[in-house]
Amino acid sequence: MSIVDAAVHPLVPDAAYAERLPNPWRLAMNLVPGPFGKLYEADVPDVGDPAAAGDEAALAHSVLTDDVDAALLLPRGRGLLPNPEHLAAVDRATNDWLHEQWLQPPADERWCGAIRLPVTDPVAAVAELERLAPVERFAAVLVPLRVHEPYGADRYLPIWEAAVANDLPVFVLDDLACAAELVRSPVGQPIHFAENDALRTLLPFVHLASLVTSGTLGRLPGLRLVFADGGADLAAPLLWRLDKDWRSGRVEIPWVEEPPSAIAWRHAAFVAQGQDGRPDGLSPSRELAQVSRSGEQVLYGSRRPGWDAVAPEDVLAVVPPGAAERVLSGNALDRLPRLRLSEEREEHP
Amino acid sequence: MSVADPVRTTVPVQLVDIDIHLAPRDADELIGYMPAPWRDRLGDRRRLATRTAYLPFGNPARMDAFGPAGELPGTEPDLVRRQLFAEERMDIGLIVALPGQGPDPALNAAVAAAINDWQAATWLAEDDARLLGSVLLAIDDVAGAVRELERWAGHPGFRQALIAHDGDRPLGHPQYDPLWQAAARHRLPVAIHFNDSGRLSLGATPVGHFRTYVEYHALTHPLEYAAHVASWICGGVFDRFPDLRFVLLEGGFLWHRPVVARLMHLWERGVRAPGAVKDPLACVRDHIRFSSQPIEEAESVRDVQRLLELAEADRLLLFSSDYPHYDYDNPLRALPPTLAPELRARIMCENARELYGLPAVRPADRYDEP
Repeated sequence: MSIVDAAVHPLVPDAAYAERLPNPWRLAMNLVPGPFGKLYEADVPDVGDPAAAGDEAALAHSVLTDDVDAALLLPRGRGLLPNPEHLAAVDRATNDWLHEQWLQPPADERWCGAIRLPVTDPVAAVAELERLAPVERFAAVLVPLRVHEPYGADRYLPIWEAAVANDLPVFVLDDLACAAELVRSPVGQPIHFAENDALRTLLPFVHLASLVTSGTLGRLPGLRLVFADGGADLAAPLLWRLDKDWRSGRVEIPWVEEPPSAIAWRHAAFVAQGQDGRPDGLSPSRELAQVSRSGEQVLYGSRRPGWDAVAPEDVLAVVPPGAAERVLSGNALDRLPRLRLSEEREEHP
Repeated sequence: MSVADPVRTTVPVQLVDIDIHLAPRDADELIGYMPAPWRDRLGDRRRLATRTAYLPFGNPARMDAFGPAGELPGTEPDLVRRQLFAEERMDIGLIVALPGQGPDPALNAAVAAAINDWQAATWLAEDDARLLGSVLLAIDDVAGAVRELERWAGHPGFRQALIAHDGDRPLGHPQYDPLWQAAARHRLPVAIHFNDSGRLSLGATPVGHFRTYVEYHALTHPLEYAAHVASWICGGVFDRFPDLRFVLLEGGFLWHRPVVARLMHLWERGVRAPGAVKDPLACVRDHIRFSSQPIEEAESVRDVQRLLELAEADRLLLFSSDYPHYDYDNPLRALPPTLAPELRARIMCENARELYGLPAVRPADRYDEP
């Protein structure tokens, strides 16, 4: 069976920043919390995977099995650093590290990467996208889940336009924590890791609602979004609510001429998670997967080397009948055109 | 009783509406229930909550809920009774009176106490017992909220406590324990509803503010309620208070299952707070209920129906109309038409009867057809 792994999260080692960041940012990184931040660190399960500690050979060994045709590297950043220049410098360093370490020989040719974009400075974000888009093995762009304003805001528009112009999908990923981010619930900071982990799955819909109501998705039919921390199960309940408020309140957003769910479904997909399609968290329900449109909207991603990694069989247990191929590779290939060209791919200097 | 209708003196209870918004006629009526110094301080203000944020509407009410002389919706007893009892055929309803709140905990407590005195003196003084009260509590002063709850705990008309949606921390934080302890001791469910926001920035999310009312109204409650649900579960609140019940009003229902399923998935893998014993699904089944309005709707009625079943609407979902608001759900039309009669009866009546200990029959009155 042919598999595209759409979510692999290599750990960016501190040394990658020490070697690549100019001062003052190199010095400033010393103040940034380490892996998994300091927020809920104590509760993160330790699965004993050496790749989780940064062993790159172990990660390659566990991800690139014989049936995997391609794997997309989505490095988690060090959070939404409050100084946009700092964030842009860190994202550039991350992208250079990914390019040098993972996307050139002797690295396996099945790896491809996502260009991290410093979204708090859209000019810098567009420049970074254009700097690296010529590298064919960068197959997507990557923006953080946590920002200061949802993604429908006008100032992000040039970023989305550049992604569409380069035919690159936008992956949205929750990064490691930075101390200056917004509080993680509208009603105050949650206490436990499990709360944070469950609640972040709702955040894609804040962005989607914003992208629909602002008219961004209407203006950019080619914009493709993939939410890499799940949310497929929540799409129907939350988008239906949005439809209902659109029906009664569309006087406020007259440019939105069809139900928000219809627009969102055209643009958004979700990386599979272990609890997807299990109404009790445990027992698979293909019926739930059907209502959640998992066959069209879910991409398999191993999420390695995270504690919550999934295997293809976990995901196949909850895909609707006949949708296995789409979820394991077809949906990813639809959204990642550069992977389709992998056979005749040329190394960019 | 000897002169009662010889054909029918009691009526089976078949429709319970747990979210009815009644209000004092105006600010003056409410201020009349407040002692000095609040009476004097608020006397010139007239409006308690007038801050603008998202609402693009004026009074967000059904147009036919205004009284004949322009009385505000939910204030005119005859009209309210006719619309609820005769037109909607509601048997028993829960009053949810929400005057708004501000940043001052002392003022919030005084307004809450006045709302409770007003309910007791007006709607709850009627002998038909078809409208029941909710003890409004200002939770930014937990000790004061406990005192206010104790003041009404023995009153037969008050059947639940009512708090606002917001807090400085999600509601599983141990600072709220004394209130949960008191509510559990008196077997009073704690309902939660939006009530302006004096403490938090309205529409703030972990990724920034909503811009439009459409986004805000669709998503803010799921975001807030999910944070509270996760907080209660992970914080072990139901281990500490086995008799505690919460009712989440107007925040939707179907979203809860993926969130709780995720907590369950984490729980099974050992990701749980130290000391927590009761698993996430058991917490929801035993302690948390959801009101139906605004009922989830989609192009495929079957999809909605199937998700309602998978999410255990048969024990967790309670009908509410949100009378008299613009997005009111008519009980005759709200639920998917294909729903099994037993499930429909659970949602429209039985789940609420069990939660609030309501009778199976009520006395017939002049609003019943002979």
